[in-house]
Amino acid sequence: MLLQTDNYHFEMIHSELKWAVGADNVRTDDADKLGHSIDYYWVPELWHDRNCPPQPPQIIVTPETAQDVAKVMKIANNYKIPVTPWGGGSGSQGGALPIYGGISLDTKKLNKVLEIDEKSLTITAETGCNMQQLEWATEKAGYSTMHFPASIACATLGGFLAHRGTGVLSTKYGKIEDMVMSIEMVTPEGEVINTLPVPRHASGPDLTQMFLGSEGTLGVMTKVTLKIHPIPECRKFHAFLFKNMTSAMAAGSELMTSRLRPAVIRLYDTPETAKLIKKVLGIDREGSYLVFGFDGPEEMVDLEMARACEICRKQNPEDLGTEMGQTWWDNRYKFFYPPYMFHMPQAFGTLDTVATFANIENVYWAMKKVVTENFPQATFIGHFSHWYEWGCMLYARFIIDDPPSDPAEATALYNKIWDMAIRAAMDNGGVINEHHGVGLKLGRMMPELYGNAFDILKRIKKIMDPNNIMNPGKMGFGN
Amino acid sequence: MHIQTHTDVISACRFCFMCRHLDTTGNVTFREADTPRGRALVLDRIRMNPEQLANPDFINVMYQSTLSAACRKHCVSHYDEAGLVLQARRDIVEQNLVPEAVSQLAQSIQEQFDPKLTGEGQDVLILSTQKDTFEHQLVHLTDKTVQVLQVNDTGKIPSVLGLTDQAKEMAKQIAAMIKKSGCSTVVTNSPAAFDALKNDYPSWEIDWDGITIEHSSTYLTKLVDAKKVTLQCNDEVVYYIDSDYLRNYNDITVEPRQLLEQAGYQLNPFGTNPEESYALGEAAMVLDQLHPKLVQMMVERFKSMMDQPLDRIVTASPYTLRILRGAGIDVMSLEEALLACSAKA
Ligand SMILES: Cc1cc2nc3c(=O)[nH]c(=O)nc-3n(C[C@H](O)[C@H](O)[C@H](O)COP(=O)(O)OP(=O)(O)OC[C@H]3O[C@@H](n4cnc5c(N)ncnc54)[C@H](O)[C@@H]3O)c2cc1C
Ligand code: SF4
Repeated sequence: MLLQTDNYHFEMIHSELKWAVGADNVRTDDADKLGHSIDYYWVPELWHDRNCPPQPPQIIVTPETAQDVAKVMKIANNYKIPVTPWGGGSGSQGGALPIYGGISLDTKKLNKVLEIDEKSLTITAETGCNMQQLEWATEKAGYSTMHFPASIACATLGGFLAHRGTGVLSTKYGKIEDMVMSIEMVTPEGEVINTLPVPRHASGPDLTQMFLGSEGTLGVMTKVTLKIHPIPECRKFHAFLFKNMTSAMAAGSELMTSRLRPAVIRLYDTPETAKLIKKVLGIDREGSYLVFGFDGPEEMVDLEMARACEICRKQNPEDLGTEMGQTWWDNRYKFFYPPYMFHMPQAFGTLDTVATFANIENVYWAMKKVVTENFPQATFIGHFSHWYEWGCMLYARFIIDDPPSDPAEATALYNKIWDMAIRAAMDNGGVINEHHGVGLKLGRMMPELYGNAFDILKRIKKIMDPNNIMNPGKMGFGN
Repeated sequence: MHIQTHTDVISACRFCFMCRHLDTTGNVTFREADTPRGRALVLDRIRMNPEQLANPDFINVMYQSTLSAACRKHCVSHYDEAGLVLQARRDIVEQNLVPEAVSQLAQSIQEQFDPKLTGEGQDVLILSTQKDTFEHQLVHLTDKTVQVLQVNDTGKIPSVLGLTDQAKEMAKQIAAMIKKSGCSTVVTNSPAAFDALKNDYPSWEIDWDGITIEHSSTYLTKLVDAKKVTLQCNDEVVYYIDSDYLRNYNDITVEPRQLLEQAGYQLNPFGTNPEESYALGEAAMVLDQLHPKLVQMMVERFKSMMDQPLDRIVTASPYTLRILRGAGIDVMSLEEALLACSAKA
């Protein structure tokens, strides 16, 4: 049901919500609603830029406890009002956009750090914690979450759980789903549930993993216990410039299949080396930039570093040394600040794809071909960000400097590029995607990606959310 | 519109989330609107649809900002998000949309504006915006005769409220008195007054004709360096809270800490990080009067960041000091901490 705001029924629901969670936690002011109508997805940004009317929620609710969340869900179910969880709004897939209006359930007041267990090295916190604030609190206690995404300053813990997010050190410390011990969740019908306290067990299928990545369609995650780590004795970096991306990929994949344990590897294709690495790090040379780092006890770091450099040198790269590696680390977030980040009037999209080493280069070339051949106005660049024993993630981007000024035309062009590029990736063994999630942007691709297995997901959704009020219109579940 | 002078900031901030964790207002209201992105989105709407400036929700957001500039300092490109809000406030004033509480405040500042110059001496003039003992202690330490200019405000309050004409008028009078005094250095222990004289006045075409403007922390540092004053006798643990006007507007972070350490204090870092503003709305000058509930929320956050409830706080900001004292927190001004046990060399 869509809420009309200018009638007595709206006022009845409005006051019911205020009684449930307190008047200070129910807001309808235009400034805040505007903020909730745009996340980090390019299309609502375009919409705003072209002065089209915003599509805000009717009500913003900021619960302070899981019980508050449960009360909101019960009220929403009663009136069949859409509820869209909103963390930091930094998701790039439109997942937090209240496209059917209703309630935007902002989690940021669920922000308590509840416990640091120094025996087991875990932290329990509410999911609305800003990730940087949480990391600071963890560091003050002498540990680290080791979750360092570029959006650490803007996103909430819950946003990362909801999107299966990842940080720069994922190769050693894992993605967020590898860091989670257990979660507390409020179901769409307002029940507060907890998953099992440890992630390794043989007590049936893993509910924790089922909810991670559900992007607010299966409920609201309210609390989580994460692993934490001692601060490593040292962390060192090294960088090389390879003749081309293929030789850099050969080195990077061998680094992983040799079972060394880098904390991070990042490989930039030749165009991105020329465009971004030059702009941010000042390296103005042709080639493919590869950087990696190890952390831990110094003797171990030095040994692994020496072995990794040996592997790289087999491809005869230019050795940029440790300094150019360290500079990259020091500037790792700089890429995301204006004016370094792509921005309006440019149209841009991150074609995040993940595949095995056997497929990943084919995915890259197939996407590049489809973008550059069909959309000559677009530039295609990419880097390989998160590396695992079996493959890695391609962080490809298309950029159009001068998209159509008409918002409808620009949206259509944008969607077309996404469709064609993602299909090219899937045809070559790529999966959408590694950490950005599906949201509004890629929901239509889910049936193609999963085949008939998608029906299972749809049935789970139907059972958990019979009134389909939880983040409707996202992840391909329809409205 | 004045916001048009900051369209680069609007364009940069409207879709950028990178400093939201440092917005002093946003960190207690948790509203999307109370971040540089939120405010830039609002102002971008107004830029495209000027009639929307009259929206009371939009006006309220502009006056809720603490102007702490922690975000600007953090920003890789230092986009002037605080400056943008100031321009928006000027637009609000010029279009007669200013909230009643704001006009009343500005009026009472004007009514109480009665600068008084006392004392004698050609070298140092102490500018004081409150009744305190700083000038006497300094005189005692340096053996200098000084002139003291006592004033309720330097124009900073009307300036941050968007009433630039009133601010300029006050600035003109104060500058004329200072010049007439014949002093070569103006020292003030108010970070806001320091920022007004150092940065606002020249931007309003007031030329200091060679007069140096100093905050007391940098002035004292020079005295200590020249061995004219010795700091001694403490071994207490204290937590120094940066003033927004010193740190985020004037990059003065080292001197106050160095002075405290020279005085023997052991400095512990406050809170979890060095970037956030804990000055409780200092740069908005009168936030406690306009939005007392908001400042109360900031005090609660401050308390939650303390290692222990009895921690001893030192601040260079008279505003922050007043709010913390009002909340029952053990706090000293920087001068109290330094001068209580200093001696002439
Ligand atoms: C500059 C920048 C850099 C980025 N870099 C990275 C990166 O390095 N790694 C990475 O993984 N991502 C990155 N992202 C993407 C984004 O930060 C992540 O997707 C993040 O997880 C979103 O978190 P959020 O709190 O902002 O969520 P939102 O955008 O508010 O929401 C995202 C989705 O999660 C749902 N949701 C939010 N909270 C909850 C909850 N508690 N329970 C259930 N559902 C919930 C929402 O409904 C929505 O569907 C980047 C984004 C930006 C702007
Ligand atoms: S001030 Fe800088 S970091 Fe903050 S929103 Fe603006 S551009 Fe982004």
